[in-house]
Amino acid sequence: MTSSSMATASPNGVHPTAEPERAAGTAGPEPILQLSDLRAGYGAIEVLHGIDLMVPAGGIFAVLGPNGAGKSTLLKVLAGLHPVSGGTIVMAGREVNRARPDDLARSGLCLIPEGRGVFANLTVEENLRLITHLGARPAEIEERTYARFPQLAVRRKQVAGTMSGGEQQMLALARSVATDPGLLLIDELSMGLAPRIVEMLYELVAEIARTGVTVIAVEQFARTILGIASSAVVITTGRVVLAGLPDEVESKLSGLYLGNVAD
Amino acid sequence: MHDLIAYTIFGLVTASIYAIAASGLVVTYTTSGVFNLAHGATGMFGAFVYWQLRFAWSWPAWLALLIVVGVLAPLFGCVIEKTLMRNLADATEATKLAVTIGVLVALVGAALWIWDPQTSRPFPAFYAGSKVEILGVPVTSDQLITVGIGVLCAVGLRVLLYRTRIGLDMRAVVDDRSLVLLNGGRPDRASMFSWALGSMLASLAGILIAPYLQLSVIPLTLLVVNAYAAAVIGRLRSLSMTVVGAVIIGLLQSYAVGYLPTSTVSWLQRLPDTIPIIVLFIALLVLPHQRLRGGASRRSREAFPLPTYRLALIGSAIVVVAAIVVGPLLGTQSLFSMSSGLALGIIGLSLVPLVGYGGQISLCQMTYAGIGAVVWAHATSRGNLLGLVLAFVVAALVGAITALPAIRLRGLYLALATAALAQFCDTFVFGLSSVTVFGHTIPLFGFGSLPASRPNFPLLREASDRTYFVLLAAIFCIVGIGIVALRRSRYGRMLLAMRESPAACAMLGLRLTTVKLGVFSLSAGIAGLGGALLAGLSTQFAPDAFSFFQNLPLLLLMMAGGVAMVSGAFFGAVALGVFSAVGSMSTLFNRAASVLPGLVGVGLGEQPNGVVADIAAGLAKLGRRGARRESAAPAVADAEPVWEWSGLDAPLNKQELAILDTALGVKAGV
Ligand SMILES: Nc1ncnc2c1ncn2[C@@H]1O[C@H](COP(=O)(O)OP(=O)(O)OP(=O)(O)O)[C@@H](O)[C@H]1O
Ligand SMILES: [Mg+2]
Repeated sequence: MTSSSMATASPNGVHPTAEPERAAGTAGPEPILQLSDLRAGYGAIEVLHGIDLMVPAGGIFAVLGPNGAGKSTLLKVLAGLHPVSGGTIVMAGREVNRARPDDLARSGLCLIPEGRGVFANLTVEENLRLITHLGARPAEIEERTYARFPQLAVRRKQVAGTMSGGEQQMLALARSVATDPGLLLIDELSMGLAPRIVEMLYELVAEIARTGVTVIAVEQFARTILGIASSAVVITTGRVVLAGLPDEVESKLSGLYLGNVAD
Repeated sequence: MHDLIAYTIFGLVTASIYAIAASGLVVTYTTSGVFNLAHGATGMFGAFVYWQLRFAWSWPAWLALLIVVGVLAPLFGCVIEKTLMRNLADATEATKLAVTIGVLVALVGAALWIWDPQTSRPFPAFYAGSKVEILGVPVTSDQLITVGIGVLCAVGLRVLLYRTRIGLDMRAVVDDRSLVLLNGGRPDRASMFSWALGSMLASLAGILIAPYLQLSVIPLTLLVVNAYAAAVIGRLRSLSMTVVGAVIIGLLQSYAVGYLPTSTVSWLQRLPDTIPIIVLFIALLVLPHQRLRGGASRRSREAFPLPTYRLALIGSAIVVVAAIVVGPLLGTQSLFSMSSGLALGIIGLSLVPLVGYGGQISLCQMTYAGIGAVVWAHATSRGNLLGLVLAFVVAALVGAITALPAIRLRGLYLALATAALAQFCDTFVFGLSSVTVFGHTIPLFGFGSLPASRPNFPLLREASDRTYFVLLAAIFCIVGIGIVALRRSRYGRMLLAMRESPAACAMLGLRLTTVKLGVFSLSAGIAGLGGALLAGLSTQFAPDAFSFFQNLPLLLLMMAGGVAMVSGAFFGAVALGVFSAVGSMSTLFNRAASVLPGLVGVGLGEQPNGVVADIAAGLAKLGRRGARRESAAPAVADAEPVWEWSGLDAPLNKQELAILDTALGVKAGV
């Protein structure tokens, strides 16, 4: 990637100037997350080669890219699970480069990691009970969650690992909603699920976003997420190569995956 | 029938104690990821403190129990977790084990220091004396109490884990530590709690078992091997299977005592003691391991310079000259200490290819050394060189044979299997009076000691203490140069590759099994040679010199020097010699010297590379022409460990070797 392709990733490129109607919950121009020249890697190998991004508060922000692009790494870095090796992360006005994951979680960031976002050996009920740092009583949390995700209420005594993939992801969503997050990071909710289930889950995500939660969703398969996103970026090999409104991104996407990025 | 019931009851009593100890081990391991080899030592120390409060100071039993199990033990667990274990998250398995071994050695040293082992300390059981009858068998009330406490612990743990908030946290941490963080939870707190709990259970088990043994340091400490066996049956994960394991071991042991014809067949006498060890070994081999945690290859923080022949030769010359010069300056006692340090150092050198290069943890090198010593004692009459060669060869053979079943194990499980082997030889083999191999009857210790003479080479006839000292230094150097050559060879690169990423190795087509078997027997052979030389030093040797426990300070000091470097082993040898020399000066020093290796081991958590590597790094930093550094960080991705024999059978060709070299950061042709 050349530096000219990075120009599309400038803050203005990401920031939606004309608000699309879909992003109902967008709460003004204040960015909830700003990354400048963010770098990270594994050992001596750099995986993220200087990411510049500005994520506005509210709405769904889609992160797309092929396998191995570094999307999961980006989310892990944002959640404090993986160290930053260069650049800065500013979250809601605070620099959080070295923040610990538990502190970030306590201040309103929630990551649903790739693969499974639930404790597989605990029951549904126990999964929800773990969230106590908010000061709410477990019973209260459970009540609220079951009201919103009635399918889970039936399964409250079931061990999470024995539920279907879709149910597990639903529980992961429920768990994250229960933490009352301001910023929700989702890594490939669709992994290994049937398209119908994925549609249903993303409807839930859109619903969560409408309550004012900013969602950053990583997806490899673009269509569904672009349908509900308010803005999107494309990352390949650790660099932002494309950023803009979902429609623009979608129209350039096919060319991008074939390797001829329109500069 | 009457007997059967009696033996069953007694078996259940010991089973209860094993279950308590093993549950503590499992809880700590699953929650914090560190297998606590010092678990038994914690129990031993708890028992001693209890004895002090209860019997020396005549406190009431309940108060002493409350203070030890309820206050001191959890406090100790918390401190250990906070100061040592918490920093070990990205350490290698060897470093993790070494730190807990350090705690073990320090606790044993401290206990021997505080409570003079010469004094006998009666330790009556709780409410000993009163009896009830069960099915016509008299049962003492302390036995009932023990079983009751065991059941209470099992039920209590279950309630704790499944009915309380902290229990839920612990199970969540076991399930997915990073997800706990993402939930805003604090896994460190759960870890600390698990260490506190583990320590409480260990001390409780120690206090309960002490009346059945004597209150003495080493047996109580090593008793935990029985708990390891139960824990391994529970796959270090399941508490209920751990309890089942404890019951199996307790009953088997009790029936063995009761029904084996020990009075008529003398070699059976020591068998009951070894039953838990045999069970441990079988459990390690039989249970499916793919799903066991531990041993997944991790990127290590450890990095070592590639040795050069020039440095090795210069170093050797200095060492030999130093031995010639220093020898006459030392008194008889110090000369003996330093010589034994060097002989132990040769045994320690056996750890360099095995642990240092290959990343395989062994806790039975002293056993191989003992075998070498026995062979030497038996074969001296056939000439010196041949005797030493035989010591090497026989130990190497035994090493290969014993490694064969253990070859698929890795990391922690390999360490436990080798510990079991060492314990087995300690409690059983070395205690036999002789073995007959191919018509040769080789005398063994049979509770006594064996005579051994010194090697008698043409130039050093009737080696005096000083000549022997120089001879040891020279042999150390020769073996060291051999190991340097090994490291620089293709085989050395394979060993390194095996340590760094077994998965990547298998993909490159390395035959890990052969590589592993080879390094095991080579290292056993070196240990055997060292053992023969050590035996020659003291001319009369008892099995204690080669007991399981002797492995621990050796491993710690070798790791402290730097177990991936010959120079590190030399540092370890000198340290062992100096500790022993200082220790022989006064009782106070002696006691301090037995605690020191433990403290050194504990420090390994902070400095896993060892002193020599750190000094070299420091010098390199100062801008001197330091040793060329080689990155131990693999460029190959850490994949999930694959089954070790999945490697293809073709040897490496040039191209693959080049890939391996790049992957390991070795410059071609170096
Ligand atoms: N633990 C690790 N150690 C070394 N390299 C890693 C590790 N995890 C990821 N990588 C490498 O980092 C790069 C980015 O990985 P990442 O998981 O972030 O990609 P991704 O965009 O999420 O891909 P996918 O769509 O397949 O999930 C890949 O080349 C991967 O091989
Ligand atoms: Mg990913």
